[in-house]
Amino acid sequence: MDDLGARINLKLIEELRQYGEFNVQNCFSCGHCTAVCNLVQPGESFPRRVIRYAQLGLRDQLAATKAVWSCYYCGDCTLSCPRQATPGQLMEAARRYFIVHWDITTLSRRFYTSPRFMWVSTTVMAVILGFLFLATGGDVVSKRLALFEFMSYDFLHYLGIAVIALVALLMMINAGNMAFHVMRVLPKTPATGPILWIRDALLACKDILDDMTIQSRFSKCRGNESEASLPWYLSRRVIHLCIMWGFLGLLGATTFDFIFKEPGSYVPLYYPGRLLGTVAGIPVLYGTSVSLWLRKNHRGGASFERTMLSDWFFLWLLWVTTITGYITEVAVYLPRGSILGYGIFLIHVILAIELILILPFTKFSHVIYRPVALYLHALHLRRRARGYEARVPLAVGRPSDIPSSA
Amino acid sequence: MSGYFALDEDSRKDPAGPLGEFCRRLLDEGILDALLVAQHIPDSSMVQHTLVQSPDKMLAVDPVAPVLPVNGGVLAARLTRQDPGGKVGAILRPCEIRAFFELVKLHQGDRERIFLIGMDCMGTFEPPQYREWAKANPEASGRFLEAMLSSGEPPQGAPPLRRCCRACEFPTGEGADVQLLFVGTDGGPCLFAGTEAGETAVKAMNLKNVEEPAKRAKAVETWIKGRIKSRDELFKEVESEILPLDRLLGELSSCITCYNCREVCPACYCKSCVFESNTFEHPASQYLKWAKKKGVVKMPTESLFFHLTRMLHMSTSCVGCGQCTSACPMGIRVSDIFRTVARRTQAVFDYVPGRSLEEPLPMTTYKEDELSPQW
Amino acid sequence: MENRIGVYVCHCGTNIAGKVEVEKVAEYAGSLPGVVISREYRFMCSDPGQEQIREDIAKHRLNRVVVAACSPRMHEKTFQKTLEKAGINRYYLQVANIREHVSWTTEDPETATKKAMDMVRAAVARVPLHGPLPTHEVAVNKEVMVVGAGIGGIQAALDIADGGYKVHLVERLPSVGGHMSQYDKVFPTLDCAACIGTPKMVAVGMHERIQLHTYSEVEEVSGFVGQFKVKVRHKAAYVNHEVCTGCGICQEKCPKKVPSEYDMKLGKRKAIYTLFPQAVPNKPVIDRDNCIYFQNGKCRACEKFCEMKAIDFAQQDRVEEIEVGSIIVATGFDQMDPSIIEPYGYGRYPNVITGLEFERMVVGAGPTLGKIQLKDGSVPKDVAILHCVGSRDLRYHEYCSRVCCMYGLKHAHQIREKIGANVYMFYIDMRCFGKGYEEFYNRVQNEGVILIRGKAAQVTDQAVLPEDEGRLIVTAEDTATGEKVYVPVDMVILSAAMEPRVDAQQTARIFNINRSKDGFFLEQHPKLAPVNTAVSGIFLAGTCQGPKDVVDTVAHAAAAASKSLALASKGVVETESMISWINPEVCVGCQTCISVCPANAITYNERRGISSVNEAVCLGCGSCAATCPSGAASLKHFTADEVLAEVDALMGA
Repeated sequence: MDDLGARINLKLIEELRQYGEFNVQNCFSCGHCTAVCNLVQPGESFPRRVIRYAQLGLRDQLAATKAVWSCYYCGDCTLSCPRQATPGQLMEAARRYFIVHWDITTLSRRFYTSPRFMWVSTTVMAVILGFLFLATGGDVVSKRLALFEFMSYDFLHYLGIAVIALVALLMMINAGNMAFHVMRVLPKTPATGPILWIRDALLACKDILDDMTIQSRFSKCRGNESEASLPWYLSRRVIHLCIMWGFLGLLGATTFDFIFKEPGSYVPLYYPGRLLGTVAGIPVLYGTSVSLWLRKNHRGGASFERTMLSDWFFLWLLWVTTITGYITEVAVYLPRGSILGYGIFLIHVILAIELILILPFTKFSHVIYRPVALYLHALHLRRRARGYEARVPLAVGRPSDIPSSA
Repeated sequence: MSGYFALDEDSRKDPAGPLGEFCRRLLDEGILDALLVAQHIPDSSMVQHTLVQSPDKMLAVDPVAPVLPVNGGVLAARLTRQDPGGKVGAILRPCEIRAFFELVKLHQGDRERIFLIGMDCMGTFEPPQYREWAKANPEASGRFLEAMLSSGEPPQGAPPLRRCCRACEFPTGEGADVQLLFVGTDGGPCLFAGTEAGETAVKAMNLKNVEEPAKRAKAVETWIKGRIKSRDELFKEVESEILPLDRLLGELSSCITCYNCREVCPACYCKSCVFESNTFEHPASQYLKWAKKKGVVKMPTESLFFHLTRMLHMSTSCVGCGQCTSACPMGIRVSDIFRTVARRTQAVFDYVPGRSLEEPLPMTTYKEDELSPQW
Repeated sequence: MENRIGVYVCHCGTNIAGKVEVEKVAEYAGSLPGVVISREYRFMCSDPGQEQIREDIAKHRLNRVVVAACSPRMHEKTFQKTLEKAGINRYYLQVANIREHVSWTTEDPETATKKAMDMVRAAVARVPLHGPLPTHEVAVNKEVMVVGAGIGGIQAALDIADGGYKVHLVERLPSVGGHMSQYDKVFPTLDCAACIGTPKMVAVGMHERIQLHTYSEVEEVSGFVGQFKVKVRHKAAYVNHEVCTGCGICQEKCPKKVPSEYDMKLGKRKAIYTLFPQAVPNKPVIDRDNCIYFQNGKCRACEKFCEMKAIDFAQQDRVEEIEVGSIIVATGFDQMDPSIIEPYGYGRYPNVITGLEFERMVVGAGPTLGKIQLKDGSVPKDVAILHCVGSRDLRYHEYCSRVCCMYGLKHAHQIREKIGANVYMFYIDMRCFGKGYEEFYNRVQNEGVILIRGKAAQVTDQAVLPEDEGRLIVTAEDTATGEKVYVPVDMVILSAAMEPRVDAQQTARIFNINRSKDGFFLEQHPKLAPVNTAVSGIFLAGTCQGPKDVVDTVAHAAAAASKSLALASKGVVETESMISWINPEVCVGCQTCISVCPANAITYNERRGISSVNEAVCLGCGSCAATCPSGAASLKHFTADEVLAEVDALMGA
């Protein structure tokens, strides 16, 4: 097939349609969307090329396109399309599609395409977890909120580790799936010695550092009309940074506690784990609340215009988890333990575990896929920059300006 | 059957006899109704073209006489411009035939209406010089012919051949219906039937068919080679005198615009020359304007222009017959100058005047790749 | 008579005055001999400017006028009218071009001013020699001939006939209708071509002022504008059309079947045939080369069965000479035969067809009754449409055929609609320039047609995968991604180029019109005179002048009709006054002028032995005047005297 060329697959666009509403049938590849996009680097050609791949059904090439993961969906491309096609929506659908596609368990597909499956599975999971906790836990103490007498700490501890291990393993496999397919399509770069290989690997980390931390690129992605009028604290970048760093903070706090804190013991507020957990929760709560509010009012940007069930679910889950966490924290100070307090704590734990459990099957998985994709492309660029004789014409859009070494 | 037929052996020594006989037979046997042929004019030593209808008026026929008083091509054109009402023939020198062909292309004559008899032309004298020589040497045409054939030079005491004749590289009668051959024919002159009409006529006369003269091809080649050499010398000589072109006026300074050259030139066919029209009747103030502009002007002002115009109009058809030089009262070597210029203008179009009736005149056709210099 | 010359130097705003010192020029002009009045003004062509000239002519009794302004191509006619209005012959005017020839091409103002003065001096020297050229009028025969009865010819004929003049509509095929009658639907409205075409065909057949000459060809054209004589050969149909009722029984009974050219060889017709069921006139003709009787004397079935006894095997061609005042050439186009483009496999693979063949296939009344099918009768699942086949290709035709993008989209739509097959269109650009065209493109794309911007490289039956065995593979680069794609399909439709008719050269010779580089007939000016030709009185309509679709053809034909109507209604045509004249006293009949005349305007008079100019046809190019050595031929208004006077004045200090 390589000499003859790629084969057109008309089914892909239909598959993509399961993951979003878009219309790119009458796109005539004029490139206006690419020209309008603020995030396009020299040599890159999205979203036009992504749409073209979708139209022709070139799945492999689509899979290896960095653009799917580096787009922040400001929606300017859709606004400005002369054929009123919807490139932004297609990018969204492509992202969801690949989250599903890389998942070897195929559960993601059911999560995305069947609301019933999603509700049933999460409810069942919650019930099972609740049952397990109650079964392994102790009594309700009414005099004070004795959380870890109510719940078996060991069970929680081991369950947590098991869940994290399982999810980590699954994500490693899925990410490996993605990496394999991406590397297969990316052109071969010349072999270098081990030292240079390591050097490139480290430099690639440096390249994606900004995207992984402060995401300054995000601020370029502001849909002209819908977003520009919003104040900075309502911008999507701020919202996302809040949620991301807040969550990482919470994750850090929980991990710290797991490692260092005696379960059930009382620690003051300034205890590092507790401080971190308390402080980190605020941005999470802020980000999710604002996001939910904007989405409900269809404000805040093109990506907030249309919210799919998967988006709502994830945001609400996060929100409820966070708020139940705060309530629990406050409840600890109350003089009496109450059913409500224990109930909320139980809910908090169940939801937190579910959050991790469903990571590979929902939008949440972007925390793995996105960095891996960006890293693979950055690494590829670094290796390509190592002077080689023959420049291979590349099929997948990429910068022609090679970042200089070091 | 070769196309070659014998004429009497004596016709070389005394061409008047056998050639005259041949001419008479043409009329007698009804092959022609009238024949244009050079004859001695009674009471004069001069030879002129005559149109003979009655065989017994064919008394002093002498086509070999080395003089070309008038270019017979013009006469042939006049005789054929409309239907003459009878079968007309003409004995013409090569330059006359070629000039006639050019006139045919200009619709001034009709090839179909005339029976052409060409000849090997040994050359001619300037007409005044011929007249004197012929007076002193009556019936010397035969001696002339013999001398030319044996030595390539006129007999002793005879005037020199005209320069244009010495430089003429087309001395054979190509294109005629019948050709009189003298050069390279050992047993006496022969006839060559060049066209179907010629063959028909010769057969009707029951002339003896002979083999192609073996020596002719070589002899003609040598002959023409000598002519070409002379021609190239002439070109060199003239070019050294008129180039660069500013010097042309020097050569033509004696011109008195009598327009003799134009009158005798066969290729100048206009009924009324543009130089006679009022285009050249300048108002008096114009002369002063020109004088003022240049400081000095030669009068009359159009003599140089006249020659240049004539070169433009007809040099592609110039056959080098030399009539213009012979006619010039001021002794300007018009023919030499024109031939030198014509060589270039004809080369631009890859055109040889009179070579073929099929070749259209350069001014009437358009080729994509013309006007590029041929040297 | 003394010269009284008025000189007017125009500023042309700053176009001239910005470079040339116009006051100085006007002052200088006043000093020249014969100049009575000399002025300068901002815009001579304006009303006050022209009014000034008229006033001066009256007041100062001017008999010559020099205007130093823009190119005569701009305003010579304007100023000529001014002179006429003031009562002097319009040719007593000379325009000195001090804009395009001086102001716009000279850097230094001093040089420019001096040059302007030189040019004015030259004009002043010339203008006294101008003669009062007479204007000639030639009577125009009010009948018009339209050659070719496709939609273009039909439209032109109807427009002229509706305008009240008689039209001779000549068509070489047995019926009017042309290529458009072969189509199923037309873009972008998807009107049925027959539904919109047949009313016009019928109108043309029934119009009291249109005389149809079908199955006829033009053999010879002589004459000139207003007085053309055309020899038309009516080919023998071997059927007496006066008597024939068009019942069709002869066609039924004829035993000889022949591939039908009208159906692009997809179907068959009989040796006696009408072109299609709605033919106008609906009378059959016998194809002599394929008729059994003509070939070997047998059969005569048609004769046997014809109730009206209309069959006449002894019929002869009939040549008729028709006199008309103008001629419209609307001979149409041919579709290129793409078999010379080897990689596309036309002629090798039976399921590679051309656009016109597909039209005949998809027509409801066509050889397949509208079924889109492969040669073996099965229905294709995937169809490829290849654009720019032979067009936009320096190896074949450099030009764009203009209609194929649209009819490719139309075909794609029809395929999607009728059989739902996948359609892949391979194009370089999508040229959807007309009204409703871009909308149609959008619509077709929304119907799921896959457009691949990349010229198809080849069509092959060498499959790589076993599942593609027996199919045709099209390869191209999808330039949007830079990926090479290969597409297995069942049918390939080639949008082959629109070419001039195979015999366009002969047609051009008959009408003495020229062809442009691409082989189509040459218009007088590509922008401003698209229907005129270099020959007065002969106009072009439709695709014979260049590729165009039906709407442009109709507009073009109406334009041509308007030219004919103008001639007919005016009744006379004014011939050019600045033409050649041959002095019979001087002309010696060498006919050199005839050999250089591009308009065939000179004829040789055998009896008088001189040549003379046909004043109605002469273009005034001056080739004869330049060539004639004796000056017998001269160009009026550009005689040697006039030109030399101008030159001498230019050269004088």
